[in-house]
Formats: sequence, C-alpha cells, structure tokens
Amino acid sequence: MRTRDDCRRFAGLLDRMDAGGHAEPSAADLESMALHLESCAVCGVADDASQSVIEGVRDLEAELPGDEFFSSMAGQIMEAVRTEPGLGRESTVRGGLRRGSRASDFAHRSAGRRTPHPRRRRMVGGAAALAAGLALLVTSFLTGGRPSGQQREPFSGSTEVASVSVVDIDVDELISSDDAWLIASYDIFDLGMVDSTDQVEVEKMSDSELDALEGIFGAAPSLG
Amino acid sequence: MDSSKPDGTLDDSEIVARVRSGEREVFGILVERYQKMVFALAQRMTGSPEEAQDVVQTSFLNAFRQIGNFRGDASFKTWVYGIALNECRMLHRKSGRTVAMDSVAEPAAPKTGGHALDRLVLGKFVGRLPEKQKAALVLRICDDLPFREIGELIGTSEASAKVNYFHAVKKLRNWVKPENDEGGRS
Repeated sequence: MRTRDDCRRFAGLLDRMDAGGHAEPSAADLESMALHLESCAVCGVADDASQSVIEGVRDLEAELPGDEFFSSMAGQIMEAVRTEPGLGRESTVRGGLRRGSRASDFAHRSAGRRTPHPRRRRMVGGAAALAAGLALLVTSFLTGGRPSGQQREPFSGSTEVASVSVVDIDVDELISSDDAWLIASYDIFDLGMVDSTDQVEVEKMSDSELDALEGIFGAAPSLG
Repeated sequence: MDSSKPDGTLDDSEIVARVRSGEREVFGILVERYQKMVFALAQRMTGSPEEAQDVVQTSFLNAFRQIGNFRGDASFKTWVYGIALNECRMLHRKSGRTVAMDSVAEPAAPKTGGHALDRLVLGKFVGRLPEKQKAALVLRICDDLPFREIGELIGTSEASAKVNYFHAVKKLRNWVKPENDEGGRS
C-alpha cells in the first residue's frame, strides 16, 4: 500500500536524478520508482496538467519538409550507399559509427566532384595556408614590409584562390586536431595578402592557370 | 521484425537479407520507408532541421555499413532509431551542447500566463531536457513506443525509461505552469 513515505522516497530519488553528476538511481530503485508511478495516483502523471503537457508535446509535431526534400535526400543517401566500398569493410568505428560520414560528405558526393578525403582536404588547406604564409613572409622580408598595392605577389589572384581553399577547410575539425598550428592564422588578411582590388578574378583565369592553382591549393568548390 | 509493406512487395527482413547479399539498390526502399520518421525524431531531438538532415543521412549510411550486425531482434525502424539517437548524441557532444542526466537550470516560467501551452515555449522547454528524458518523452509520446523498447534505445532498463519519461513530463508540467499557479517544485 502506498504511504506518504513512499511518495517522499520517490520524490527524493527524482531529486537525486537532478542533483548533478551522472548518478542515476540503482536498478532496484528505478524498479521501485516505476512501480510507485503505476500505483500512486498522487505521483502518477494522470493529472490534467500533465495531460495537457503530453498533448502539447504531441502537437509539437516536427514540421516536415515537402516530398521534394525527402526525395532529394534519399537520392543523396543512395548515391553515398552506391559508392561505399563494401559491407563490413569500413572498420574505423566512432562510438559504433564510422567517422567521415557527415552530411557535408554527401554534398560533395552528390555533386559528383572530386572530393578530397576530409583529412587530406584538411592537410591540403593547411598546406595552402602555410605555403601562402611562407611566400608572404619571404616577400615581406625582401620588400622590407607588408606588400603594397603596387607590388605584385608571386601568385596574383591568390586572395580569391586562398579564400576558396580556406572555405574548404573544416575549421572545427582543424581546431580540435593536433596539427591545428598549420592554420593558426588561416585568415588570408592575417597572412598579409595584397589588396583584393589588385587581384585577378578567378572567373577570368584560364583553365591551365586554374589547374596550376588547384595543384597548389587543392580543389575548391567554385572551381569544380 | 517490422513487416509493414507500404509498397506492397517486400517487408523489412526481406530487404535486409537482400542488401546483405549485395543488392544495394533495395536499401533505398528502407530509406524511403523510414527517412521521414527518422527525420522527425532527429528534428525533435536536435531542434534543428539542418542537424536533423545531417543525422538522417549519416544514420542511414551507417545503417547500411552496419547492416551485417543487424540481428533482427528489434525492428529495422527501432534499430535505425537507435543509430539516429546515437548520432544526435554525438552531434551534441561535438558541439558542446550535451545535456546529460545531470541537472538543468529551471527555465523562467512563461510570462504570458494562462493555461494554454505556447508551442514555442514548450518546444524550448523540451529542448532543455536532459537527453535521456527528452528521448523517453519523444519516443513515448510521438512514436508511441513501449517503455521496454525505449529503454533499449536509450540504453537503460524499462523501469528507467518509465521514470525518465515521468520525470520529463513532471518537469515540463512545472516549467509551463503559470506563475500564479506555481506551487513549488515537486
């Protein structure tokens, strides 16, 4: 039979669940709490206020996007499935799931473009930033200061290209990675790029120029 | 095993068997069948359509990769729900927004007063619940799953799922209670 002590004990265990840390009540306590919930009309959730909360949560239906959205998403998923190496061959598991499978990967795959592996892409981006930094350091040293608008960079147009490369970097992953020092200053202006008005627009560059730049800085979304 | 056949042809177990034997394309039927449900769950859990999309895509791809480990003890839907919940957890952990079993600051009571539940406010409150409580609440109310299954999905016992659900409802009840009705925490 339910007693006031049962209710007090039940409330105490609930408070303990909220008291901080990860101390969930023991299995036996949870069992007794569950039983108490079933038998106690006071502690149970059958009152009107709780019912209105439950109804409210039920009404909180996720507003789902239209069929086009799901059709497109299913297409992307299947495209990724088709390019999977084979069942059971991917074994790098993170918490039961494999790394490198986020939606950003789907965008690359579905666009049918060359997609550097996330780690390789990161290294390419980091190397590009490092190369740009080193080139500018040398330039600055030779010219005795920050390059001016009149002084051409050895890689004119680099602002555009470098910025594309930087965008391609997963900054969060870089920050958390052990080689994050590579982009300690990934902002192109921190690297001392010349005035952007002095740059050659990427759109006006020839295919061979773009290929050459891509060879240095890696593939970029706008370059295909 | 869930054997619903919206397309009138294959049930989930047949599809899983065929995918295992190398027919990748039939996996698309499972995607079509469950992506909306998984998206709805992920959106409720993350509160963001963009993150939900991320979760759905990653979950199905991982389901495909791990389909060899699917034993069929639970339905495919339950199994992919588990993967999606895990993915939600990973996503939040990565973004530093994890709300574990520990305490959550009690949000300010809605200033509007009255008894009508403001959807926006209630949605925010649901978002503030600790993960297990939120999952138990959503899976119970929105997916109508039994506590035993909810327990399996959130990695606890049936009793714990029940208590977590109750705790979530009770918290929400207190949080949405208009100021003039407030009778202290219970």
